[in-house]
Amino acid sequence: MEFIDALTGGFSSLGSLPIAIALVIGAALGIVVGVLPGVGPGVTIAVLLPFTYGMAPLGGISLLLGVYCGAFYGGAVTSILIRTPGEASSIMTMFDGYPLARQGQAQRALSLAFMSAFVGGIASALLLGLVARPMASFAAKFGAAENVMAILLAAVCVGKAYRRQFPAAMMMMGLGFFLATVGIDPNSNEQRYTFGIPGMLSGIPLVPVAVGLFGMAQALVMVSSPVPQFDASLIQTAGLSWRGFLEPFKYPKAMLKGLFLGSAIGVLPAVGAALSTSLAYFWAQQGAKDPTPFGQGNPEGIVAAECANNSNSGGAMITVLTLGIPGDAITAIIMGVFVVHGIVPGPSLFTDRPEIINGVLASLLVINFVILGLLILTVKPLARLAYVNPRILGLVILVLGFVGSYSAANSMYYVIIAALFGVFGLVCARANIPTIPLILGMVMGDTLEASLRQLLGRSDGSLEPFVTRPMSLAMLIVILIILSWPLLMALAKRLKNRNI
Amino acid sequence: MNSPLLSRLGSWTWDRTLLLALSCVAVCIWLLSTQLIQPYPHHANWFESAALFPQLSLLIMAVGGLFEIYQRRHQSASGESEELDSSAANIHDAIAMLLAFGLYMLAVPFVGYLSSTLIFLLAGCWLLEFERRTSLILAISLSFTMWVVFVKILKVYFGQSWLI
Repeated sequence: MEFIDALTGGFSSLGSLPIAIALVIGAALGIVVGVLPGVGPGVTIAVLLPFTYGMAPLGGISLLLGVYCGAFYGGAVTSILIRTPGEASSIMTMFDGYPLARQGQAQRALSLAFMSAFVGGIASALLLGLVARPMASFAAKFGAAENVMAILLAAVCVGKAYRRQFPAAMMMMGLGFFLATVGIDPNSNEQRYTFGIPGMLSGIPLVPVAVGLFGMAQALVMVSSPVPQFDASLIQTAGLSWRGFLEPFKYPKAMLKGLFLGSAIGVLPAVGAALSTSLAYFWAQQGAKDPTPFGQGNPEGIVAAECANNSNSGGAMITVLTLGIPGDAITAIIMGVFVVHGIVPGPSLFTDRPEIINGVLASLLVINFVILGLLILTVKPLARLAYVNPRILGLVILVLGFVGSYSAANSMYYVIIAALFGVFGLVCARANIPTIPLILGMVMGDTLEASLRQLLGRSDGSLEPFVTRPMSLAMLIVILIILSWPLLMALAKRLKNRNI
Repeated sequence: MNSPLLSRLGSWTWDRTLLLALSCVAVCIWLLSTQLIQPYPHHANWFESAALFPQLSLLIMAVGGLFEIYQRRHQSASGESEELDSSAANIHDAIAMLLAFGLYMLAVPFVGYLSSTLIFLLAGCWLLEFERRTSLILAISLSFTMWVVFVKILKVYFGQSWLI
């Protein structure tokens, strides 16, 4: 009943015209950037973030959520028609979507992908509505010790998601934490690491850093890379078939596998949609109903991958709303909208600003309907966007990045920060150093420091509360297990070899 | 004269230099914290100090960087990242575009937003070797649209300048 009330409240929040327009624009932009070569939702959301300053919080969040979800759908178009996945999460769709399109069934493949993504999106939004509130009431019992441990656990998970680049990811996370401390210390009013620059007194702003790292770095790569060549013969065949729309429901097992993995993995910080789609794809191969071999146009491969792909969105928002911990770079930037408007994501949001929570839930539901409607109307011309030269797009992103970072504070200081981080992002990309942990560190740094100082202040510098509080201790044990896992595995291997 | 030291230095790659530089920067800032935090809380308890969290962050950064260098030294290839792939990018083109962007940043307050954007786009199209017709259509339409949207509709103020 509470869920229905929340949903009704959410729909009424979306009733205002500016929010509805923002939602539709976001959804349309998301689909477009999903199709455009080289432009991902991260770049678009980073560039759009400054423009959400002047909007109502829910309007800004709806705009960015529209881009986030729309790109999942749009990515399927290029995967199926030109064998070029826009995002890593669309690779699995390509494996069976492209062979189907080659067999003259492009419309069936696109319909399968869109409907599966739609089911994934709706299910994950409903899951968010059902799980978020109980999880928030659980998280409300968190004290400073639990907050510190939850953020550290998220940081370690982010690092571990980069597998062999774990130390590099932790280095960038450390840099993000450090950058979050620059400026006037809110507790003691001391100036920290400002180097006498007046602009740095208020800290290093998130917006230009995000614009630089994601927008400008990507734009510089796009303008300096050769134009990719692809077989565009299938673009003309884009379209939808009503039979294809109903087909995913023939494979409920594949759908459920995708939904389960997408939602569960979406909750984990930084693991991302790519892993959930590949796991769902391989899981769907076991006990598949359709006899077509996987990789040669099996519809269940598309259903599982697309369901998993789009069901990530709701899962990723659960940790943002309930714990204030972003799951990936995109949700970190979306969290920036909350921060910009002085809204603190976390359990208190459910009591202080329930209209935001309900609005996000309703937005996620409505966005999926809007996207599906837009795709039905525009899929044919939309597919032609794949022809756009990525170098032109790179140039457009640079110009938009300039005005976006400038307009955040009507200051050239923001543009300079964006340009510096753009160069840094490009250099890091060349050196294979991940930059997403930096943004996550910047977003979580403030809360981590505040909680740590609060805890240490209360306990006179004792670290005992970390082990005396059960939840904190449990998270600490999980962190230690994650960190020592490679050592434990190596030890187990050595013991096994010795026994042989 | 191929000494082991020289061969080791020969296999030293620029990405490890970058990691080392970042780690060194972290250590330097850590050491200079007493000067970089004003006024420095000399008499505060360690757990109440404004330097505690930044120094912990810098420590994570430095240790992470050094571990990554060690890992890259002892691995044939560093882990694959799903982030931005710049392997095909031509760094000279990127630097040229960056310089053009730097000039654009400097030009906007003096020359005006519309004129600077138009010139930057034309220069960008020239650098990217677009056809003259494409360049003109793109630069004129995009700069004018951006000027209308941001300056006229959204009222973004770029200051007084010689031109618009």
